[in-house]
Amino acid sequence: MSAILTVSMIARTEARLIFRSWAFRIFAGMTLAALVLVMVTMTSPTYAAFYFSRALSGAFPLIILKLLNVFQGLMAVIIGTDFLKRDRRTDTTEVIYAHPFANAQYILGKFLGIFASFAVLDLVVLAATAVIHFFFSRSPFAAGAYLAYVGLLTLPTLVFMLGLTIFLGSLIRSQAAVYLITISYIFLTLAIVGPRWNYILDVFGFHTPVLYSDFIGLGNGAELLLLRGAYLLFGLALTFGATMLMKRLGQSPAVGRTAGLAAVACAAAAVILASTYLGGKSADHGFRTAVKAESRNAAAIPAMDLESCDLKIAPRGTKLTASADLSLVNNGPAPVKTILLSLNPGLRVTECKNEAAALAFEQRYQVLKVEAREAVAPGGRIRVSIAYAGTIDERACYLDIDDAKLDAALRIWFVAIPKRYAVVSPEFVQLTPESGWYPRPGLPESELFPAAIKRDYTRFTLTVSLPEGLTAVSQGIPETSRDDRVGRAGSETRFVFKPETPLPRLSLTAGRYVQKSTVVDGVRYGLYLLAGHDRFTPQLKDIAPEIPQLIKQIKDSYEVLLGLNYPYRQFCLVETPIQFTSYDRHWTMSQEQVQPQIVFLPEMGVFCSGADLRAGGNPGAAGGARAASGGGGGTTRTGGGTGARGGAQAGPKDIQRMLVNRFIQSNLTAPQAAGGFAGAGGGFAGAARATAPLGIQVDSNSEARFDIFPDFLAFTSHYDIAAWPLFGYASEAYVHERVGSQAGAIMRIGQGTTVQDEINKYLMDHSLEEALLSGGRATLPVTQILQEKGKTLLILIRAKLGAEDFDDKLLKFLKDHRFQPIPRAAVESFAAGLGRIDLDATVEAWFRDKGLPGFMFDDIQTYRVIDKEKTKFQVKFTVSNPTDKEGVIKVNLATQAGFGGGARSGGGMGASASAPETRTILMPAKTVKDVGILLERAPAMTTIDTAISRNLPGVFTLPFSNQPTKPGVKAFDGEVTRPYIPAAIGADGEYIVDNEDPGFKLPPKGKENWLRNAVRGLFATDAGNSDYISVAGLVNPPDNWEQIVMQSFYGRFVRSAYVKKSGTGTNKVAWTVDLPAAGTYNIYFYYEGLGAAMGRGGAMRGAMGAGGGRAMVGGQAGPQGGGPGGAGGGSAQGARGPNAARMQPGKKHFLVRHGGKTEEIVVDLKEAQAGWTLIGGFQLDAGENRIEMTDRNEERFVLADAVKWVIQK
Amino acid sequence: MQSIEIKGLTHSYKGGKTALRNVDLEIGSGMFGLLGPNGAGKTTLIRILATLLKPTEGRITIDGLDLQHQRKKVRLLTGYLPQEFSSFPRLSAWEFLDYIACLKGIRPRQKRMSLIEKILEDVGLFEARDRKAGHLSGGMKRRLGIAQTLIGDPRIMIVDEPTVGLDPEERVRFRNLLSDLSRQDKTIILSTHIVGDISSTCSRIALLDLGRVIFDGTPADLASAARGKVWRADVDALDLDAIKTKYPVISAVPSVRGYEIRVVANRYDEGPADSVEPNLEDAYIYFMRLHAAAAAPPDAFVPSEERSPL
Repeated sequence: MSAILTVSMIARTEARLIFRSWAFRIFAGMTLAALVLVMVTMTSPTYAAFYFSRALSGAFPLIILKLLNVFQGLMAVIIGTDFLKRDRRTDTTEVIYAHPFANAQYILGKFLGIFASFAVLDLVVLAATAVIHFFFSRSPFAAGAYLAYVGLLTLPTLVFMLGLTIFLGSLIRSQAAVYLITISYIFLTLAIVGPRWNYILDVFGFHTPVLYSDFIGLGNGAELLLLRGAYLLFGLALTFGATMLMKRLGQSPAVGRTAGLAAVACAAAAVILASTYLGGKSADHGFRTAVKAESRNAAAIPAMDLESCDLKIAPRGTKLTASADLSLVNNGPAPVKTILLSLNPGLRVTECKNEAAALAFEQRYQVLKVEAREAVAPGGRIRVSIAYAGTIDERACYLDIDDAKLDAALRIWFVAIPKRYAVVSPEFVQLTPESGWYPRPGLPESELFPAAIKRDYTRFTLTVSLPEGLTAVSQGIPETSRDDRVGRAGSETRFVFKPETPLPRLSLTAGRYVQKSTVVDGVRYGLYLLAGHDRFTPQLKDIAPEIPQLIKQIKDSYEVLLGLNYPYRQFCLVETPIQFTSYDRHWTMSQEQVQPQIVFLPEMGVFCSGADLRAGGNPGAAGGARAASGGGGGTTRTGGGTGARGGAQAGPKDIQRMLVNRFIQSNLTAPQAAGGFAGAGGGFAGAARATAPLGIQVDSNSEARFDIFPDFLAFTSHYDIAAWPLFGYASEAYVHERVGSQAGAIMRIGQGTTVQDEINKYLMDHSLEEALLSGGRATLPVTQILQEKGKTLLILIRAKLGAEDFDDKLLKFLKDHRFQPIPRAAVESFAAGLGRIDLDATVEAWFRDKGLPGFMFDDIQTYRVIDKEKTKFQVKFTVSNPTDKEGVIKVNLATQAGFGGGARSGGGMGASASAPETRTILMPAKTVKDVGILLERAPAMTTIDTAISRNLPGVFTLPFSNQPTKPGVKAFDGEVTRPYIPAAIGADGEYIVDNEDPGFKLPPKGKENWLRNAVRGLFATDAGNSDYISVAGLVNPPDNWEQIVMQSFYGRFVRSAYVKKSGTGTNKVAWTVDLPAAGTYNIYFYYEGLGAAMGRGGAMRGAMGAGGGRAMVGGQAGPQGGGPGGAGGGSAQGARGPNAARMQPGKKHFLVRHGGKTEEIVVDLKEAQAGWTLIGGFQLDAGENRIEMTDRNEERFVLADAVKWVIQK
Repeated sequence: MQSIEIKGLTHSYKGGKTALRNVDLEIGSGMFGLLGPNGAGKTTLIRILATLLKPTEGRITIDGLDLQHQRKKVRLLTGYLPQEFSSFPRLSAWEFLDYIACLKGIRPRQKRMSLIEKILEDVGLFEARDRKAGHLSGGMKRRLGIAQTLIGDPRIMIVDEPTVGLDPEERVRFRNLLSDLSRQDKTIILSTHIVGDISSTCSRIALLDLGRVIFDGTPADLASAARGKVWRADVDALDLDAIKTKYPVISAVPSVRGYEIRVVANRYDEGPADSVEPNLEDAYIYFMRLHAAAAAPPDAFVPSEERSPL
């Protein structure tokens, strides 16, 4: 007892000393102030980027406690080493040391004293967090989250850091050295090693996936206990260890020995916990390998088709018991004796029966082989009843996704979230087909691809018994009954689902849901939110009666736009835990987030764009978001429709309607493609980023998409064509384009190119086949390549067939083949009905060919013509494809009335707008086409999309400033095709050397500014591996010549130039040409007209803000239409010529060698016109001639593009 | 029985410097003076006695307890005031003493409170009890130091150079405080190089030089050992410097002829001189300069900077 009192007195005195130290007071005060500032910022609805912290009960305290953990770790070092310093003052220490206490008591007392000081600080921070959370944050409050974080994050870190500091301080006499070591250690764990090696070195828990969900709590509690427990124990081991290093003569050998033993025991326990944790992680990889191997072994066994499936399931606690009555049909050519089924390996089969007779079975991992007593003949059927129980082993999910991706935590800002693919817990159940929760014939899709995916359309019946209070959601409208038989588990509720159509897949979700539903046009629309999570419908109270009408409008316009109708009688939005994760797949655009009839929304809609109805509902904020063009793609497209109403005049109903539309459009009906853009309008869409105060980037790596499109196509139509495994994906991508957005493809990624540019660059050297095998690149997921390539396949087929009503026919074909596999013959007969095409060769070439076509555009003009006594507007241009690859281009023409996507989404909103004039032009290899398009209205601009091609940039926009009348010129609508004949070089007396040509010479690379590179590296958010720098890079131009792409630059396919920071003139680039004859030549350089390009770039930027893609025109249309979308837009003036703003500054210094001497010519760019600009006329000899340009310039940078020699006759 | 018995105590620091050489001492109750120049080994001996330092060789018992193996009990018995005591600047006098009382295991709180109150009154710090140590004067700090040694009423108090840096008034006050304590059947070991500190208070003295005990006895014995070695003479002012180089001059008082000097010497040959009765200071000088110097071993630990000039 006395020993404890001594320890407590030492602790009390230490705590008293710490509280009275200014270091602690200042540090604690600053920490508290900083954290309160963060809290206030995050709770403010102004910052949509922080919506997740205002929505998830676990996010707000987590962010604060994570930051506190870091602050506290630093403080612990300072305070811990301070105590050591204090104790080294022998005059004081010796007085203390001469008293009767054990060393262990002293160290323990000191440790507890410091610990208590921090505990008080933590309690104050926690109290402030809880108060602000409870009263201001609007997110649900979960005390469990606080307890979990304190226990698993704060406590282990504090104990470990204190132990480490005290131990090092006892070991090393120099306080400075202890500082240096501990601070370096902190930096190392936070910045470098923290996220690696399964977070084993993440002492602060900064990178470790931790997030509390109201559905399932932490979701990875056991893992965290191991990992964080190891830190806690190791901290204690270090503390006990320090007692043995204490520089004082001990007085109680027994206490010393006990402390030593405690140190060893804690260290051993820590090692056991850590190795159990790591062992589990490595076993996971081994397990996945074994599961895959088992699939390979079973791949040869033919699979039967599942006609019907009667499932009965009863989840209890963390386990479920189930039975499945399967009716299987042998549609193969051979009899089947061994029935191959797959089931999650965590579910163990207890019995297999056929009628009443038991069947032999073997279950290895996910493969279940059932031996029929007699082989099932082709066309024959068999009924198999399977009883099974257990829990879902999530390691068997997503076998097609590589380990690195699976291991990376789901992330929002610096909140790392553990991933869950299935959940069976007492309060919540989430089972999607990926988890293999019911037996299905054959192997899972992830194990089949790239062989043909098996998809059966099955008649399901699902009976779910749940403890009372839980609600089940699955496909079909359930019949509910209550079972009051009092068992140990109390009364039960039984849900029976009988989906009205055959389905390719079935999911089951159960939780404490509160549901809201309405029936519109025979479809039941259900919203399932966890009890206490409905922060949404109160925000829409004014339009509650209109909701059915709103849904009807949206559904109707979507169906019209898509050309396909919704095939089910139910549609549910179901909230799921934040940990529930899904990935893009290679065989379908659908994700596990979307199941037939159901879209799983993340907890509180956190990964959804526009879920922050409260922020959106604030007229100022909403208006601001619309006008500032900072919103997510969907947001601003909606803005195009509704923005004109203006934030200030909009009433609450208008705003609420807008919020509903915005949410539905940007998440469900027309979400961004993967790799989309920030959702300043609220949350995230795809891999996204939003900006918070101080320019903080709040981004997320979630791939989750909630697009309802799969309900219309992926779940209803299946191409059962073994030879074309990607045809389904291509078909989805093509049809999706009718409702989708190109924003993703247009968006500039990291560096200076767009996603589409990156895809093209990749496909120059790789086939689609190679992309699938290699997994693409880190910055360019295969799914993006697939989406772009996929669209192109159908565009190519359409262009080859030349059928104007291709889309209508295709949609009819799809409707006719719903809920049944589509065989190859059906596709071939469909194509044959439209025209002549070798589908096999087309698909084969599309899949295996490398290299891309390239297009050159010439003579683009627009003028008025008289056609049938009416004035019409002629657009005319020539396009050449000099390559040996065929390709397609798409031309979109904006007229004064409206344009592309903007108009379309306007349509979606019920606003009036004319359809865009769009042409798809097939460009066979080595062909030139003169193209004429007749328009009823004056064209404002054209966007030419070269799709999959060598052209860089791949999409460019040309504005038309005026349309002169050309009397007597005939109207022309169509294409005239002629072969491409390459002009002999110099045939017209012109010799052009571009920066892409071999004649262009770069000097050797010089030194780079290491500091700038280091800083760039530190803050680079995208690991872009682009060869091109971005326009933004011109603000801080490179030290060496780097390539930059811009539409206004000279180039055959690639419109690029080199750029370098201005120098002294010693660094030179050169253009060399082999002239066939001596003579007088005029030498021109291509003035890149950056100013003009910036003008257009401005339009582009506006467009990006406005959601990119077609909305690009939003920037253009802004000044004309007066809509807010064009706020950031550039000029609609002519791109070149005197109006172009000259932003490229200074003078160019050329060195021309002629007549045996070198002459320096200085061209002042103020005098220059964009395009070919004369340097001068020179008498040149035949043979190699050279012109150089130095890096000397009076302004920041210098550009090098193309040079032209023109012989004077 | 003696309170403290020291047998064959030797202590060598890392690096081979020997601070104590085969020291034998027996210390009974009362005030025991440990006298010696800086570097003589006093502080080393004191720190060993205060259980802060482990001796290289030798054995010490305190009230029959083995210092090496019964540290806890020894620590309960002893109070220690180091050479330059300072408390935690952010603790008040009261809080500091309370802390020490807890470490001494004094329970319950009420008992501690009354004890601290009494001690504070004894050392004259009661009025300043709530003042932070950082705001106490040098003398007050030293008194706080002695107050903390008194906590637990230890039988043995070890006080190292307690009066260094104090003004004369505080020094006298401090001596009196120690003197009062020595009358309470305690053993007070007072280490000092200031002869005045012990001349009026100690019943026994040990003289330490270069790690050895060169004298152990009563102050009277010490003084008598120098009998016949102390001279008084009148010298010309011009001769004083020359005399100083030959003899340790204790004092030189200006007089009509020049100076009246007091020197320690076996024999004074510079002129007429009177043999006078030695005092403690004379005896100390005698031991340091004449008696012990011849016996100094060649590897004696004598940090030059700590050797105070006489």
